[in-house]
Amino acid sequence: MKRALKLTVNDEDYEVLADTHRTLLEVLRDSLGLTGSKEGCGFGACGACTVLLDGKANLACLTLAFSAQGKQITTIEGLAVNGKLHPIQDAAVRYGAIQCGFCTPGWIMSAKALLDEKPKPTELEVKTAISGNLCRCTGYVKIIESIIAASEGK
Amino acid sequence: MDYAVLGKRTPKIDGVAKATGSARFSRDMILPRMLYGWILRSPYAHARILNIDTSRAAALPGVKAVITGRDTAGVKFGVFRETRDQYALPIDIVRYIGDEVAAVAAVDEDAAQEALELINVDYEVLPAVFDPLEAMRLGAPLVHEGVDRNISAHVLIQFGDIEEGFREADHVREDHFETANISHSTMEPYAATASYDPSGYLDVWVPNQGPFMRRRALSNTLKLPLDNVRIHKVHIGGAFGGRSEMMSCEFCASLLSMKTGRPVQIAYTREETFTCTRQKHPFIVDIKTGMKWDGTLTARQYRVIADGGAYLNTGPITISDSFAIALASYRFAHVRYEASRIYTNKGVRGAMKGQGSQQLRFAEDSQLDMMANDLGLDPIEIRLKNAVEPNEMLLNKSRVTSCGLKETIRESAAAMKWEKPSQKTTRDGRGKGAGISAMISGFSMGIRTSSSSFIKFNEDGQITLLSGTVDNGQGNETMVAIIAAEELGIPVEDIRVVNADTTLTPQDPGSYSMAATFVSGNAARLAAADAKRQLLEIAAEKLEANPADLDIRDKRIFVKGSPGKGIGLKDVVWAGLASGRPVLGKGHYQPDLAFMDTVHGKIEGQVTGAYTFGATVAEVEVDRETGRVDVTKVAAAHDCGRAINRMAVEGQIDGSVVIGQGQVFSEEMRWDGGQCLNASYTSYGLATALETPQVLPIIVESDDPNGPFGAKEAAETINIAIVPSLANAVFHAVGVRIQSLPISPEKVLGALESCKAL
Repeated sequence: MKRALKLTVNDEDYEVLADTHRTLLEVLRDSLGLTGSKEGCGFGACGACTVLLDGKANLACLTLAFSAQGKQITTIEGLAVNGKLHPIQDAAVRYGAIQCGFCTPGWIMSAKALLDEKPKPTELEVKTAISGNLCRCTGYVKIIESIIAASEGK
Repeated sequence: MDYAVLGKRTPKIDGVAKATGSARFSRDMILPRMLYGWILRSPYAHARILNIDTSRAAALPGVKAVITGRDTAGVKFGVFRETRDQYALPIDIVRYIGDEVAAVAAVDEDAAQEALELINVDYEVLPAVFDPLEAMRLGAPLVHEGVDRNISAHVLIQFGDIEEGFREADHVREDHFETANISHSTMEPYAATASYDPSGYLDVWVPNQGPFMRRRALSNTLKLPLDNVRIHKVHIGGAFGGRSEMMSCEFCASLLSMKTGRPVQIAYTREETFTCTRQKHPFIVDIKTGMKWDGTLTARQYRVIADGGAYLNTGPITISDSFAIALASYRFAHVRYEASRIYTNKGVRGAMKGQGSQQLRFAEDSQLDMMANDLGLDPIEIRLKNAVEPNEMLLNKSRVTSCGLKETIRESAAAMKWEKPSQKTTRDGRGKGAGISAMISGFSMGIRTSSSSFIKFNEDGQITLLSGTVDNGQGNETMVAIIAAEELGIPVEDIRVVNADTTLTPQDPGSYSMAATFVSGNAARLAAADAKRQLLEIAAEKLEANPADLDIRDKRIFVKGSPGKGIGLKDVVWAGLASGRPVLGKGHYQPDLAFMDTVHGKIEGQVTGAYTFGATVAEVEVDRETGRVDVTKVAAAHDCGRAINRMAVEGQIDGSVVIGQGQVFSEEMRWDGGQCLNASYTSYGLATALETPQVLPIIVESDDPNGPFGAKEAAETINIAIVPSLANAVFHAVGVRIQSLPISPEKVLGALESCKAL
């Protein structure tokens, strides 16, 4: 059954009609057109759908859309401000941390949650924070480098 | 040579789009009035379809079309005429669990999925066969009628006199190896969006490694004129060989769109992507090698059985190409190679990173290490002794041009401070050791060799570069941009690349092996050179100079030797436009190659434009209590000819190491009969960031005479080399030799137990 759903995404308010069983990922992508968050598995095993709920990393494919009401939702589309990339995004591009780009939005959101909480993480903390974000292209090497570079303002 | 752009660390030109989430993949193409499609799949490994009743599904509200094999033109697809054995929608027989039976399009996913449950299929279950050795026995069930003992492809290739070669040897070993059934595990699940216009044009967005090959397959199977099918440029979430062939996905989306007149999107689940697209062939390899006391190889004999799954298509390439390439690593005079690819009632196996090279090299280089150990020879020395050299003519009359094989061996060993192999123990009691492997890659480009490129100078002096090359993430768009920028003396930012669109861009072979940098890169360079010639001619008139005395750098054309005398590039472009001479460059490249007939194992002649080489030295720590292997450090040296973009080459090396790490220690699609047991990321075994070792990427530049600026390829070699390196490292760490992949903790523990028992 469809009900009114109110979401705050990237500081904008949205109101849509949605079935109560819809996941946050489905609503973000199909109803709001925010296709930056990806579905890599649909079972919470790859991290490509990672978004922030009140600043914490969450898997949008395992989150019911209605349970995200009243929370501040941040997606990859909300990171760049006035066309200026977030430092993690900027480092990702400059350090060659992006290849096919499908996993990129997910790990960037995981990294943002980490750096917001812990601005100067250790390498192991970085690896742990993104250990739920699978990547088949990069071997994670330059992803890890870029997150550390962003944390050091490089 | 002092390059302005080439060989630097250039960020990918599609990096910002991918970092901000604006890059659109096939499933992100959400079109007005789009319908959602789902495919009904066979629950049986082998069955005859007696009847399909779609009436209840078609009557469900929201359902707009239901199709079965009877609604298709009944055309089989595949890259070679004689290997076309698969229908995009089977008509009468299904051959594996997951084979396509019907497809529906509905206004939303819920209606489409509900409709699948309302399709009533009567099957006659047929006997099935799952093990390739059983499938080869007389009397085994036949996956395809009339294919004797399920042998879908067979090649026998010989050079020299194998018996003589073994007589010359002082030491002969015969060993048995098995490799695992690997999933490409592209992060993007397979998906296609298709939109048919009533005027007869079909637009398709689908992950692919060559839009022109995909267009041909869709045109053939849909019976649409070639030019009416347009494969659009779209971002592609990884390929690794797994997106070489057409899938039922885009065929069904297209046919459903043609039936309904509305766009249709079909997105495979992760499970469908695992089981119903393509996988890597597992090989069973029996290998016999002869060697002199000093380590010189004399002869090698292979018997290979590849489990091909339910259909053939690119299968012959897997078994033939891997051997053609084997000839370019170590030198020996006598060799016999016999390989059979076997049909079984399981998901279809196809191309993956180096075709069958990784599987064969695992056997060859593991055994080479075993023989070095038998004779007390150093693993590095034995490889250097037998390594091919520049300008060497191989047994199949294919010449190696540039070759940095020995440098890659020496440099990777030096980076790891290689010592004589010895088992060490870490402070916490784990066994520690290092292993090496040296590898080659290269590809027969005989069937899809030529690429063209156009360059259009715009009135502001910036350019549009048209190339057919497709970018699966490796950085091909940036690669052609860098090449053009270097040739034209302009920054990469001034180039807009339009690529991989069958309607807009010229023909291209696709992104297979080395074809992208070597072929598409050369085409881009020639187009840039043609544009440059035009620019210099126009500028020469303005400067009252000879075009041969001019050059371009930093967007300025100047007289060589007197850089003060020059003219801005933009002014030259304007002058050209004003005088009816718009600057339009055109380039075409086709390497001079012999046709390699992989179906029949005919691999004589120049089968590749260039061979690339690489070596890896890996260090591992093995926990004797749990059998777990940690990879701590890997040096990987790659002779890529010339690094067009150092950062991209390093990225290929890093990724190849970690993919290989998963392939060696944890990845395996496991089967119970025809049922895959672990078609999910939770149970398949990809390496995560926590397992990432320290990687030391080493770039060796052998400057190929035919590559663009000397470049060859940068994707496959290290992923092939890393596999035996890791297996060898486990042996050097704890003294156990695991001859089947994956090298799981269970196998390591079992082998350690057997050692103790002795």
